[in-house]
Amino acid sequence: MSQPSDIIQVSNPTQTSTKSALKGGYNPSLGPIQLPTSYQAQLASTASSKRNIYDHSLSRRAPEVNLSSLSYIFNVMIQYSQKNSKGIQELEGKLNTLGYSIGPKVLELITLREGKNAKREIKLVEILQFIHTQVWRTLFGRVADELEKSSEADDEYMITDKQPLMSEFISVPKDMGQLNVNAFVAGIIEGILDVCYFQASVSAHTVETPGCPNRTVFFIKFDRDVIERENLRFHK
Amino acid sequence: MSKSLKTTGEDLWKNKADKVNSELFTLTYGSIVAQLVRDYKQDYTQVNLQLEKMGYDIGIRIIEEFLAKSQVGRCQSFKETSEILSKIAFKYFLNITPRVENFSTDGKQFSLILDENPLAEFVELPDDEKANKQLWYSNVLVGVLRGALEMVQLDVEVAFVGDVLRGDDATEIRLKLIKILKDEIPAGED
Amino acid sequence: MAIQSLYIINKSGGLIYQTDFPLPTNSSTSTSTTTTTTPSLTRLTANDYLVLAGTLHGVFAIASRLTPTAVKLTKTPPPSSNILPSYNNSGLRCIETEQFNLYIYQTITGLKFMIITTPTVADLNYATDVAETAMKSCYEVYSDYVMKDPFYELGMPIRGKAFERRLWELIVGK
Repeated sequence: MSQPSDIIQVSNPTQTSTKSALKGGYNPSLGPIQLPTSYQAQLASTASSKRNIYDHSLSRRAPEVNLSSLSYIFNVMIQYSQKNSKGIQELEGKLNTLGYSIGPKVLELITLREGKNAKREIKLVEILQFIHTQVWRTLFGRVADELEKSSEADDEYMITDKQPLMSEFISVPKDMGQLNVNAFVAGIIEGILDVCYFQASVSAHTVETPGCPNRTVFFIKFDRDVIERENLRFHK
Repeated sequence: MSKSLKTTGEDLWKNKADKVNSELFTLTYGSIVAQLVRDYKQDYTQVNLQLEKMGYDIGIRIIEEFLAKSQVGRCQSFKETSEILSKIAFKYFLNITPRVENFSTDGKQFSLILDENPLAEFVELPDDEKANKQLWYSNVLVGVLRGALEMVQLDVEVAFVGDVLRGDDATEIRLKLIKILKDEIPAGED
Repeated sequence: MAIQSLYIINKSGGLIYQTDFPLPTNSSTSTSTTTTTTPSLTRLTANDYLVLAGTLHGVFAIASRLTPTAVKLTKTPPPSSNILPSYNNSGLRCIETEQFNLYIYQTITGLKFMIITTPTVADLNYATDVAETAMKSCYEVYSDYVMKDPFYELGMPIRGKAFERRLWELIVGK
C-alpha cells in the first residue's frame, strides 16, 4: 500500500522532508533501494547522531548473552503460550509457530556469515546435515548428536540432542505428560526447511536415556512431494 | 569502589555465566513481541503492559540467581543500587554495561542509558506510525527491574523514557525509588 | 560433618522443599547407586515437616527480637567483599546438639535454607562457615533449576526432577 509513495519519494528525494518516509535498504518487492547520493549525504548529516541499524555490520561474529536470560525469555514464552492453550498439543503447536517465525531469519544469518562458502543445499541429506551441524553450532554452540534416517519410512529423519540447551532448567510436570518445550526448536527447523523448499513437519519428543533425562529427538517428516522430487532428481 | 564493581561484574560474566548466541536471544524475544502485537491487534499500550508483566514475572525470579551467584549484598544506598545494576547485573545477564546518568539531587531517581541493547539488535518497529510513538519494544526490562528490586524490598517505579528504535537519541530507562519496604525486610537482618 | 537433610522455607514460613541425604559410606569405593536410598534420619510425616519448618521460622523471628543490639552480628561487608553474607545477623543461626547440628541461612529475599548435619567436633564458627557455604551452593542450584523452570509456581512446593538431580549431585556426589 505504501509502496507507490516510496517509489515516488525515492525518485524525487528533494521533495521529501520527512525522513521516515524515505528509506534505503531492501524492499522485498523492489529489491535493494539505492538512495541518490545527494540524499545519502543529507541523510547522514541529519541522522548522524542517531544509530541506524543499516550502519551495523551483520557479518561480525555474534555477541553473547547469558543463557539464563534466554531461558527466562523462553519461559515467559512458554507461560504465555500455555495460558492461551487448551492442551499440550495446542501449546506445542504455539511454540512451534513461534519458532517457525524465526527459522528463515536464522538461515539468512548463517548463510550471510558463511559468505562465499555459503551454498544453497538442494539435497535432502545435505540440508539435514546443515541443520545438524551449522544451525546447531550457531544457535547452541555445538553440533547436534545424531542424525538418522528412519528404517521404517523413506520420508522420516531424526536429529537427536542429548542435552537441549533450551530445556536445561525445565522439569515438565507429570500431568503434562508428553510435553516437550523444544517444540520451539522444532519450529525453527521447520521454518528453515520450508524456506529451503524442503517442506516438512517437525516435532520434538523426549526419549530419555540413562544420564540424559532431557534427551530430545526431533522427528522430521517430509512432505511426499519432497521425497518424490528427490527421487526424480538424484536417484533415477 | 566503582572499579571493583566493574571487575566483579566482568569476573562474574567470565566465570559464572553460561553463554549463548545473543541472536537466538534477540530472535526469541522478537517472536514474543510480534506475537503480542498480533494477539493485541496492534494495541501497543496493551503490548507494553503485557511485556512489563512478563518482565515482572522474570524479575521476581531472576533476583535469586543474581544474589546467589554475584556475591552482592544488600545495597546501602540507591546510588549503590544503580552501580550494581549497571556494572554487575546488566553485565552478568546481558553482557552490557549501561551508563548511570541524571541522578536527581535527592538521590532517588536515575537513568540507565543503554548504548547497546541485545533485546533489540537489528530490530525495526512496524512501519505504521503508531508503533513509533507508542510501543516500548524492550519494555520487558522495565518489569524485570521492578520485580527484581521489589524482591529486595525496594519499591521502584521504572519506565522507558527514550528508545533509539523510536528515533530518540538514546535508549533510556528511568528508575524512581518510591520507598524502601521496611516491613518486608526479613526478620533477623537488623 | 555430613549433611543429612535440607529444608527450604519460603519467606512466609512455608516449607517448599525437604529431603534427606544418605550418609557417606566411609569406604568411598562404593559406586553402586542403590546404596543412596538409605536415609540416615528417621522419616517424619509430611505434616510434621511442615510444623517443624513453621516452628523454626517462628523461633527464628523471635530470636531476632531477643538478640540484644550489642551482640548482633555486623556482617554487612562492603560490596567489594567476596562473601555473600547470610543476612541472618540476629536470627537463629545454629543449633548444636550431641546428635546433630542445624544451620540456617537466610537470603536477602527472605528465603531460608536449613541443613541438618552430623555433630561436629570442629570450632562452631568454622562449622557455621562450612555449612553456609554448602547452603549457598544449594541456593545456586535453586536459582538455576527452580527459578528457571516455567512450570514452578513461586512459593509452592518444589517438585521438579531437575532440581532434585542437581542437588544430589552436589551433596551426595552422584
